[in-house]
Amino acid sequence: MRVRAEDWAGHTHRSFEGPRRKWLSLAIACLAAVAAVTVIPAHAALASGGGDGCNPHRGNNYLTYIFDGADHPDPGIPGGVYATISNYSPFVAGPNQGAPSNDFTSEWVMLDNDATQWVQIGWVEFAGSVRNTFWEWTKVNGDFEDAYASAFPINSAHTYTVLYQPGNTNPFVVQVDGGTYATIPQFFTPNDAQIFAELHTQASQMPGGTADDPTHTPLVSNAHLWPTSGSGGWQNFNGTTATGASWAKISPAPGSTGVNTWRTWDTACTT
Amino acid sequence: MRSGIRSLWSTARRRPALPAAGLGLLAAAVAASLALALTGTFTSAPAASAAVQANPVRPAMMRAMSEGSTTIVTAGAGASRLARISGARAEQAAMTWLRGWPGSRVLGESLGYATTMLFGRHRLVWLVSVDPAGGLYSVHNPREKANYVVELIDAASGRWLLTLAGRASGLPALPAIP
Repeated sequence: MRVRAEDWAGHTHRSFEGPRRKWLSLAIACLAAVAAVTVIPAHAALASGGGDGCNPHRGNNYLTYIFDGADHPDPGIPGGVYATISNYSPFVAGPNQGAPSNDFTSEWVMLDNDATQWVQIGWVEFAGSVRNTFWEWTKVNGDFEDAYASAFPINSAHTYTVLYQPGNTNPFVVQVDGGTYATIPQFFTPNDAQIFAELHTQASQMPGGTADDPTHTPLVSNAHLWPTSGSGGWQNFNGTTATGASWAKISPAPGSTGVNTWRTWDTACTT
Repeated sequence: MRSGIRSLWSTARRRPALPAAGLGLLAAAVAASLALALTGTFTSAPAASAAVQANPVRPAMMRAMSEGSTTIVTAGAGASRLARISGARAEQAAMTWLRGWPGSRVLGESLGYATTMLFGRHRLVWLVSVDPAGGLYSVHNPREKANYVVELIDAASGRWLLTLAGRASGLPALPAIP
């Protein structure tokens, strides 16, 4: 899709030699000119929404953060968090809904310090149905890094883990299904563990899609926490559910405690 | 080692002299028409060659990407013989990842060796520095914009392996593409 005058000219220049060059180039230029008037504008063709999604038809309010999931503030320094999360493919608002083409929806597990610094791993889907496994960590001075790797199949469930192992050179470890994706230097000490779906406009769909149905496979299950780094071991996450909008639902209901498995959904989606 | 960087840095952004000026103008006009048709708008980003990020093996860029278990090192001049795919093909692979952002641009590419937990040690890769249209933002804090986006393309297979993006103090903002 990269089209620039100098590149076009450069490729033409390098591709053909001798007297045939001009005629061949002219022929290509004519064909390209025809293509220019027949190609569908990319924005019109940009699909928003993935394999599971429903367009909620809500107005765009981009850069409004909406979360749906569970939190576990830790009285100590947590040694890790993990959960099995379904790779749901929601409707993600894009230019057709007034949101930027680079907006996205994600679902992740995270260790953080008062939500100001964090290490997280999960799935992300951009408008246009580009999906990835991602991990992100904050550094100092507001710096951060994201890594994007291949996505897992839509609706497949995988266990995402963040470990904190103080004393190691790179104490944070991010894993999927037990395989280590990266180790990360220490920029902070965690005091909280979270597992949430996250969107940035109500024009996008909260993962889950269908109305609450106890027979549906939960989007998040098997949530665990290592409460104290350096000692003990894995325990149930025992989180407290929370949601950021009336149409973003979660079961067990918001405010429920001792939760390790939950479903999220969007009231706009009824099937 | 540094002497090899310049020679390996892609020549894609060099503007070759065209013997037929008229032909060049026609090609440019066609390319511009194509850009308009494909993106819906003309992009007016500053010349990509002006961006620091155009050379992904600059020390500041490599420092940004080399933390924790990930390291990026420059490839010597001989590495170009080991790469089975060209920089142009690596650019194409990089743009595939950016298919959701029409108007995005490649700023430059260079061969390097990458070590990650995902695909092991010392993998020869094309490091393709890109500028996504509209920018790329922190997943958890979309008010924070990345000032480097580098895709790692396997120099043997042409397969996209990984994208590293973020904000690093000391790097300028990427040219804005609407």
